Amino acid sequence: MDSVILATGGYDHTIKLWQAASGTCTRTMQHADCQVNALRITPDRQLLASAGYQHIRMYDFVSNNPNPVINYEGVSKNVVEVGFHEEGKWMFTGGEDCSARIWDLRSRSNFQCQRIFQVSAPVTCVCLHPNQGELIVGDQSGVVHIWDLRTDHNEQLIPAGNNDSSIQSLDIDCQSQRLAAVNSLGTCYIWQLSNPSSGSLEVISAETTSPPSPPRVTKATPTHKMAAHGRYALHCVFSPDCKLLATTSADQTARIWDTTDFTLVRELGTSNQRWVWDAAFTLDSKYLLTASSDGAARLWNIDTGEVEREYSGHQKAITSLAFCDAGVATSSSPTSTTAPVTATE
Amino acid sequence: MALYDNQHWLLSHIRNSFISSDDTGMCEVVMMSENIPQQMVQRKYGIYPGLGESDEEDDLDMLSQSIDIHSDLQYGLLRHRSNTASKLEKMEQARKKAAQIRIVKWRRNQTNILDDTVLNELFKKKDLSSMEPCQNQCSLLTHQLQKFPHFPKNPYQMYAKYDGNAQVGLSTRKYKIFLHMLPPEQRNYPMEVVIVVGTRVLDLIGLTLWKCFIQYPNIELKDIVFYSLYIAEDDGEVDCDLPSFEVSEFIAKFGFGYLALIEKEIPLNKNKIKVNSDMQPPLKPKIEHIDQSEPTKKLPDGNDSDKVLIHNPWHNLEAPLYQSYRVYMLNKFRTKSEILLGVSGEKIEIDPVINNKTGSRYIWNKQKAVTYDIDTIVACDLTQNKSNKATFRLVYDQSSELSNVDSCVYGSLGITNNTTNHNYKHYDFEVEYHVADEIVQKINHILDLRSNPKRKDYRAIREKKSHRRKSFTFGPR
Repeated sequence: MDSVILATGGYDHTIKLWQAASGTCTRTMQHADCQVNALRITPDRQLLASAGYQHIRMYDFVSNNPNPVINYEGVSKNVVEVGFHEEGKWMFTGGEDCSARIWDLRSRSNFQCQRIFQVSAPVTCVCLHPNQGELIVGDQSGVVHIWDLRTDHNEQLIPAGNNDSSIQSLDIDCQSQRLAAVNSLGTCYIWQLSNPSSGSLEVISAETTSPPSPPRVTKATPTHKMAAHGRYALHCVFSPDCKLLATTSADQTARIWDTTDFTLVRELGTSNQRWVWDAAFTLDSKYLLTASSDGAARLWNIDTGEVEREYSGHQKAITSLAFCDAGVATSSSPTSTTAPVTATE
Repeated sequence: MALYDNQHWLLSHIRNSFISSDDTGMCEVVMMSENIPQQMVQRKYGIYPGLGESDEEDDLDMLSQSIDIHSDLQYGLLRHRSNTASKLEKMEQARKKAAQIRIVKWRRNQTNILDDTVLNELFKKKDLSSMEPCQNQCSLLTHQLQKFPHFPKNPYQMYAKYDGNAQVGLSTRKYKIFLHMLPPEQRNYPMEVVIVVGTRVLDLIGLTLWKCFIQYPNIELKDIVFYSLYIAEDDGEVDCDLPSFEVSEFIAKFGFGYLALIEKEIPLNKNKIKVNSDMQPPLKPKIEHIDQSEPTKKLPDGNDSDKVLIHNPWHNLEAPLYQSYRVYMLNKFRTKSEILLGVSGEKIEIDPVINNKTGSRYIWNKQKAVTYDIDTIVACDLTQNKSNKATFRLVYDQSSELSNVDSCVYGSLGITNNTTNHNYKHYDFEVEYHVADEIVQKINHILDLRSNPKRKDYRAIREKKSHRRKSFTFGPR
């Protein structure tokens, strides 16, 4: 199987898989009855998860089955986000029913451990802290919640105060240094993250025997605020090398920001591109994939700002993409021996 | 090809078609009494010479029956299916499909107290201090891209979305197209092109060229304006007597399976290709095109008509393109709910707009998301025009249970079923006048493009009603 996976989904009720390098559509799967809100590839690269109205569906990459193989249900409204623990132990979702959930994926486990986190407004985005122990949940009232999964303790960040903006997307860079959020006014907020205590690991391993000491979550200190877009911002994502931040927006562009001082590096747009809903970096942070309402996904060269590939085949707007790159074994990169995997919703 | 010039055979065929396609059995009861073909047979086969020479009763039976009709259910594919049977089969398929999907329901933990060991196992925080920054990583995709630095960009990429092979759940049409720009030895076999329904000839040409570009990388292709489609025989011979297809026509109009794509020396008239407006940059050049290409359409009162042409956004060609509008739906209790009205060449979609502040409080405000096939829509008119808002009414026919196959059969037999109980329902919407006007025009253009029997029926009924009303107001004659 091709180890680079690109999947797109949107309002035409289909999910398409692409050969990312050539731009050809390799497979079309049916996403009956509703649009695709979010897509994500499981850590083992076997399944593709899609979030839709009241369902999370899983599609098989290996077979040619156009229908889902697993259907998770029991959520009353739109599911807007889906994601996985890095070892596939559990899945997290967020939805318009004002909750974020943890679905226990361990098979044959008698003790199912399902978790739910209720907030007061519809959840718009969820992001997993790279430490695998905290969920960052953004909601429509503009609040960012940091939820410690083990202790159930949570803390709130309210970046925009009391105005009517909703958090649209959240991301943490892979070094866990920064948290980025974009809202419906096109504003981007950056927080510096710091561990609750330097020796947090020892504390947790000690806690298996003794009851937990006062719960602590990752501390976030606001550092930057910028008007990233003039209109609704839709998505934000850090590059794998942590040097760039991409934001996408209803202003029909994606913008690339330098994370050292948050200055604009590049604006990615074409005359026929419309709302840009989703974006993902390649592993080397040289290219950006975007999904747009004009029914096309695009691969941009960040250095030149040119469209290198266009993926067209959807009949309506594309609202989500999932991309899974693979490392290449070269002598210069020791990390590639383990074929690091990044999956972006 | 068969010539149906035999009255005996035709009568017999029609009779049998009637009886076999009528599930209620009424036809059989009514028609049993007058079996005209049989009477004709008794008149010693005056119309069908040669029949009398056969002594065998079996032959005669054969001829009085339609050859296509078998009472045996084994030949289910040949028999016209009843709605119930096809519905049952669909349900069965859906059931089979559902059986292959594992369903996982959300359930709460049985116990409220979570086991600490489980919690620690599942939600243990990873130590990130030892994580190396993932810099200078190589990407497989980049690697692949660098292998082909000069990857040719398919110039017909925008037509790729019409490829029927890449669609699930959309109706498609298949064409076999002979490509005349290929070297003669490669021309013998046509290229199979599957296109989604609701597209135009230009889209079909574009899609064919898109496939060509991939399949025959050595052939140099020109701009799309240099190509036109002709009707062809199944051996590839082009029917040159007939003109090429007009690029702006819907392909659904043409029922030919074999076509030929021919490259021209001179491009087609340029203004004809301004079809895919969504692909073309800004409006301005389009206005100019309309001006240049259609001077004859100017009405006597010069300037005004020009404006009409320009400001009428739903020029016939663009009407079937998908467009959505945010409008208010007027409900029974004079309440309004905001909905998203999606209009395209195939269907009308009504989707509720989720509005947290008001919507959820009133249960009766909730509008379910519904989709109507365009063929069930019979009318769309402006009903009221207040100072700032206008209302318009969308009428649809709910009795549209006849499947396509059945209506085709009726159509081919020349039978129009006038006794169908029409069940007209309507929706009322309110929005700013210019938007309402645009929607009404767009929908009417779409309806005009399709010849829909239901719409004709509706119009006939409405006309009758208005006549009745008139005669009532003017009193007895």
